[in-house]
Amino acid sequence: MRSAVILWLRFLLVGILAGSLLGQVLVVLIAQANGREMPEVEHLVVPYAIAGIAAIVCFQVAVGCIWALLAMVESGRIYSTRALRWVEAIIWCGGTAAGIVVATAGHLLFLERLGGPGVPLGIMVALVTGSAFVLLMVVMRGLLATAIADRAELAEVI
Amino acid sequence: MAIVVDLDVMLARQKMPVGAFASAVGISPANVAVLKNGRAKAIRFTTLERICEVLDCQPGDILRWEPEG
Repeated sequence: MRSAVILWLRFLLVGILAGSLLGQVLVVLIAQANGREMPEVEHLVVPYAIAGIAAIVCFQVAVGCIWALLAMVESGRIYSTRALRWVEAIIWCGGTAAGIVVATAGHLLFLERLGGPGVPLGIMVALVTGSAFVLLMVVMRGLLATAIADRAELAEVI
Repeated sequence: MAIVVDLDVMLARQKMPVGAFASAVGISPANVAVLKNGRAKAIRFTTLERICEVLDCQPGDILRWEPEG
């Protein structure tokens, strides 16, 4: 694998990670601002800020997993069963993040009876993109498992 | 394994040490041992070709089928 590609991707991942840290700070600031503007939602500031931070943590963990997978690609060890665990972690991160977003938006919509037309739309988007991402990763995981099995079989050929 | 590799017989006949045979064929001594011990699961045609070349023999001189059981 071209090391320039991996290096550039690593650089971008660091940038994305930094951006997500900024996002975590922004989530808190936006939640506080909303709480000040609308005192009726003040009790939601802390739990929703935590939910936002947690969803971004999932994203960050997934980026970390991609980093680990990149290291394996670089050293030529990607076709080993250890790589499957990192992909599994990415799947769980994607599922958890989508779950947090759907649960938070659902709570806002159905239990608090708040939020405009954007909230159901957000639930739909989170459900569709979240499940599509998870299913795509499951397919990728299957492909990697097949490639690992093929590699192992080929390694036995003399 | 129903397919038997008669490599040790051929090597003894040619009086060729394993190390020299491995480097002449271009495979590792470990893989030569795998072939000799009958633990090999597959062999490339190119490897077989070089073995025949080095030992000056036919594939049938090295590979033999034995009914299992």
